[in-house]
Amino acid sequence: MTVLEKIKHLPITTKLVLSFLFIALLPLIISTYISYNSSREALREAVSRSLLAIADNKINQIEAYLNAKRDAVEGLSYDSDIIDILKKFTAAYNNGGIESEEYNKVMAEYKPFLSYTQRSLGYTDLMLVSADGNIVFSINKTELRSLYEIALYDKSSKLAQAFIMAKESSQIQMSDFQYNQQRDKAFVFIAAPISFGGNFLGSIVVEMDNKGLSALALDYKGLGDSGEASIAFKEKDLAVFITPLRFDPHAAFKKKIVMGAQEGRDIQKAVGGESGSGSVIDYRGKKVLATWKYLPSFRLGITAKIDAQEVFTAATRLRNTLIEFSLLLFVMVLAIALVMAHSIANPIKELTRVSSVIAGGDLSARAMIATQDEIGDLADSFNLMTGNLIEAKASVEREREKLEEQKKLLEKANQELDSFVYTVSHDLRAPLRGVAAFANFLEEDYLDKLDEQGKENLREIVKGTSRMNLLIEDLLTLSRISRIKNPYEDVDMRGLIDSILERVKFDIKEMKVELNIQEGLPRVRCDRIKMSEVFLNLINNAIKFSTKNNKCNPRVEIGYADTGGFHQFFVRDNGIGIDPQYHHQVFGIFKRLHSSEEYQGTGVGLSIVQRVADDHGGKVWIESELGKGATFYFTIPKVLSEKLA
Amino acid sequence: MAKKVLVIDDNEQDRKIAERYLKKSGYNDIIMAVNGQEGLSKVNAENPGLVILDTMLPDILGFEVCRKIKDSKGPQAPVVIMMTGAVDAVDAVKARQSGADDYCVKTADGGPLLAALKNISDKDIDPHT
Repeated sequence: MTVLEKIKHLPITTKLVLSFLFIALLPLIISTYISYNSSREALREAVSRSLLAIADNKINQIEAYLNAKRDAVEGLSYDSDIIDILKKFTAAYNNGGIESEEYNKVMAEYKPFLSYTQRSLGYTDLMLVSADGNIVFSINKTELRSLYEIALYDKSSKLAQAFIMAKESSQIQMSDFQYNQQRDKAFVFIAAPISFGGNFLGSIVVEMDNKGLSALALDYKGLGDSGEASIAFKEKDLAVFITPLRFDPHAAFKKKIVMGAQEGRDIQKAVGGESGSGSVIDYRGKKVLATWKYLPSFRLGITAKIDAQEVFTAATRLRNTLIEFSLLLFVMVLAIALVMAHSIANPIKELTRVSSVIAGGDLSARAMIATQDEIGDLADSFNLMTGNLIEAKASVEREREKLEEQKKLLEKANQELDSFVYTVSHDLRAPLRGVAAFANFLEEDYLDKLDEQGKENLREIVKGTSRMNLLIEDLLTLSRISRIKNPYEDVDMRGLIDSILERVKFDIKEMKVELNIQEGLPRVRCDRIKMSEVFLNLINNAIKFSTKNNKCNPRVEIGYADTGGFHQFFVRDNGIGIDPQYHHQVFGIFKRLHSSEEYQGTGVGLSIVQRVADDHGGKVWIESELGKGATFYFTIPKVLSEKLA
Repeated sequence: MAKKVLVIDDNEQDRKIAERYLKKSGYNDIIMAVNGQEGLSKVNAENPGLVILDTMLPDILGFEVCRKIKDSKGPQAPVVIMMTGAVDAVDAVKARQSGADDYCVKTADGGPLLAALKNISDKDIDPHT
């Protein structure tokens, strides 16, 4: 069964519901899909833009923070008080060392100011370094040694590195971050050269930890559930994070990304000196939207990023909302469709129900449909039609009764006619017998006393009486066929035909008739005696006509066909045939198409055939053309209505 | 073959025809009756050896007459041949049931009657011979 056929066989309610859903939901689904797709792109873009703005802002904050810290040191390096203090500490250090009274005096005088400055600017230490590299002051009392010495035996000393860079470039310099395992902190040194009157006096150096940067980095405001900023520097072929990461709190100085690795592309680009933004894989191996920037003056790379997944969350939310909305709409459409479909289908079902009740014969059934629409009109018409049907049925019934009455009258008239024919024939026989007998006696007793004319007249009398006798006998046979009904029995037709042939074998032999009987004739339920009359008359008829036309080779053929509900027999001759214009007459009583001189018989034979076939509920007909022989057919129903005498 | 024959038939022509064929068969002592009642009286009065009896008589049915003849005379009853002008074969059965010795139809040439008479003489069932 094809899909189309399946749809055809669906109940009308289902069909209507499906149509409604199709009409309502198809545009909905298409428009939802289009609007989702376009808004998803717009959303993605908007979210990316706002994220990048926040990331940029974050980077700017960090840069600004670093700049502020650096600028503050630079500001101090130009401060005349600081220059003066450096001179005094250098002099005291050079004159008597840090244990001297002079040094302690200077210390006592200027340490509070320097401490205040250090604290207020948020540094962890503040040092003053003389031009020859000696640390002449440190708030934390760091071992006051020559930075040149330090640089000699500790090449990785960031403090020495910063000082030397600043002195050599005559510019403020910041060292790389250095991780102090003991303090579990990272430190950076900012060194600003101090000059006076063109002479290099030394430097002011501050030590700063990564707390401030970490605080900035750990502020996730505006970065959603997965966004973060991170800062790293490049050490050989590694990018080293200097702040904790959102998903790795102990990352500072521990989490390192190998340059060129698949993960952490954003931070690699940042420390590699690039600035930009895009979709990349972060240090966790996750796809993120990121922006990155390199700060050359601090040799630091900064990135800010957010998970791609989160960026698309808004789009996903939109999609979910749309799906929920669509489902809600679907349910509503379905409910409306069901109500509509039922309101259309129920009256039709009601009509169908009433129709089948009416078809079952109960014409009093009425369709109970109260709607005012076309279906309501249909129901009204239907009820009207049923009413008319009752009227029509009653009138048919009246007609039928009338017909029945007429049929009875006709049957009675027929019976009376039959009985009349019988009585008349019977009563005619006695006087005819008398005429014939006495004509015989006359012939026997007085033949020699009559002249030729008398003998001729007597012969005509005898001829007339014998002809009349034949007529009466035939009439009686016909009447007997109508009057007497024998019980039906299963008759072997071949046996029946053979017994008929026994009765006419003299004629067959005499006329040299070629007889052809089909093999395998069936057993037929019928009135055996009447069926004998049928075959007797048909065979006699066939012999009579075939011999007349065809003296050399008269031929008679008997055959059979099963036509479903009927047994169909035929008897065929190769005689003179019958012009089609007379076919309807041949079964009528006393219808002779030929003079009695030419053919014997009274013309009752075919009437008998027709009577018998009628009695059984069958038919007779003829197929013939003039000069081409004739075939007489008759049928007997296989199932007989048993109307016994 | 000098036996008396009683012909009971209401039809005069049939009586005459029967008489002619009876004479042809050698029966010369022939008496007639035109109805059942007269027939029965003549059977008693004349004591015929053979009765030719029509089935349809105006007063009593031929079969009834036959039964009465056979019942009243017992073993001395005459031979009865019933004759009919009707065509239905059912008469033959009725005739046998009524005790008739033979049965024939009326024809102009008298063939059946002659055959029946010959049949009786062949069987030699005539008690008066």
